[in-house]
Amino acid sequence: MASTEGCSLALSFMEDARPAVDLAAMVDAYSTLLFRIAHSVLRSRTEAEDVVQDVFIRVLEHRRSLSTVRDMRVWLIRIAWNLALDRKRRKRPEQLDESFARSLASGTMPADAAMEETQRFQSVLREIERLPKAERHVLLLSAIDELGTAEIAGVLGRSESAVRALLSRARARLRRRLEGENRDERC
Amino acid sequence: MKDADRTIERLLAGLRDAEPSAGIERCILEAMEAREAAAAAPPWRRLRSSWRLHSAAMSLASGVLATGALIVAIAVHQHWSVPADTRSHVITAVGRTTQPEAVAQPAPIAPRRVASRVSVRRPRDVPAVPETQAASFPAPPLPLTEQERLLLRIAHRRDPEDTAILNPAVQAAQSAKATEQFQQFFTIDATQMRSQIE
Repeated sequence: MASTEGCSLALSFMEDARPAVDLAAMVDAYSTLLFRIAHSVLRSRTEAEDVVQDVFIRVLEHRRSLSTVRDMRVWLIRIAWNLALDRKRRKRPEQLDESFARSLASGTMPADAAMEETQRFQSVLREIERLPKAERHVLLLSAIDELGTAEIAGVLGRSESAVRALLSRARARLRRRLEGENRDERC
Repeated sequence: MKDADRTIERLLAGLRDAEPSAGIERCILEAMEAREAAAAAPPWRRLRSSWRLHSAAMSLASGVLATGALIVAIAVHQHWSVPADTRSHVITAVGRTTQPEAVAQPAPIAPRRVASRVSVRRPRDVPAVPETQAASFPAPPLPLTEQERLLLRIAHRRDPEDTAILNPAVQAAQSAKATEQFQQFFTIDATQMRSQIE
């Protein structure tokens, strides 16, 4: 928050008389949430940050029509979500997942255990990517604490009950597949 | 069962707890400011920047045009400053080399073109006009170049001897001469030997 204090004044010229939107405050309020949403899709910090920046550039471009946006939070999340999905289409998921899995596993544990953990995370990520699209999207969005079922439903354009059903199916399917994989490994 | 659940939970927690780099807000605001400044620039400034971009292309194009105009002007100037005699000679020579059948057809040059040139005729061109209207005849053969002559020499090196062999009289004379030389050689040799023995 402190980092944008100097900029809020500089940005005052951006604000039109009609839409009284404080863009600096908006950046402060939403950048972390948007980052997490983009990161859940891309699993790359730099890529996710680029997406957040792109979101606010879009906001700037549409600042004259911001007053017509009904739910600013869902609108921003939807932009971030779609931009992240667009960006992911241009990347190979394995490329991003490997470093993310390694970063999750590398902690205080020894190297061989960390390697095993990395492989487990990678297999989970692989199975998530293999889930049906709707289930995958619900699962990834549900991972973000700040998002409730209503907001996930708003972002994905589904009903809340559909979101709940998709989430439960996604988790069950993922668990089943991972157990099957573990069983195969043991055999 | 528990193991899979635990891994899934840990992974989702990893996604949930992801934090952006410190100062991301400032970067975003700076990017927005830069975008806004570019969009808010006055039109003449944007035009100036685009002019800068296009000025190089414009100067290049004008340079090309000027060079082309200069070349045309020089060509026209040279065309009109060449002595009339030479020019008419060139025209007739070209006519001769390219159209030898024009011998039978006097004045093959298109009359309309000649008329148009006559209409803008200058005083210095007047003596050349009859020549341009004269009948064409084949151009004289050009002398061989040094290389052509060399080639001919290489190709026809032993021609006189080969041709002479084909003539029976010359062939008989040559063989008679060779026989005479042979006999003369041995006769001399025999007389020399006889004198040495004696």
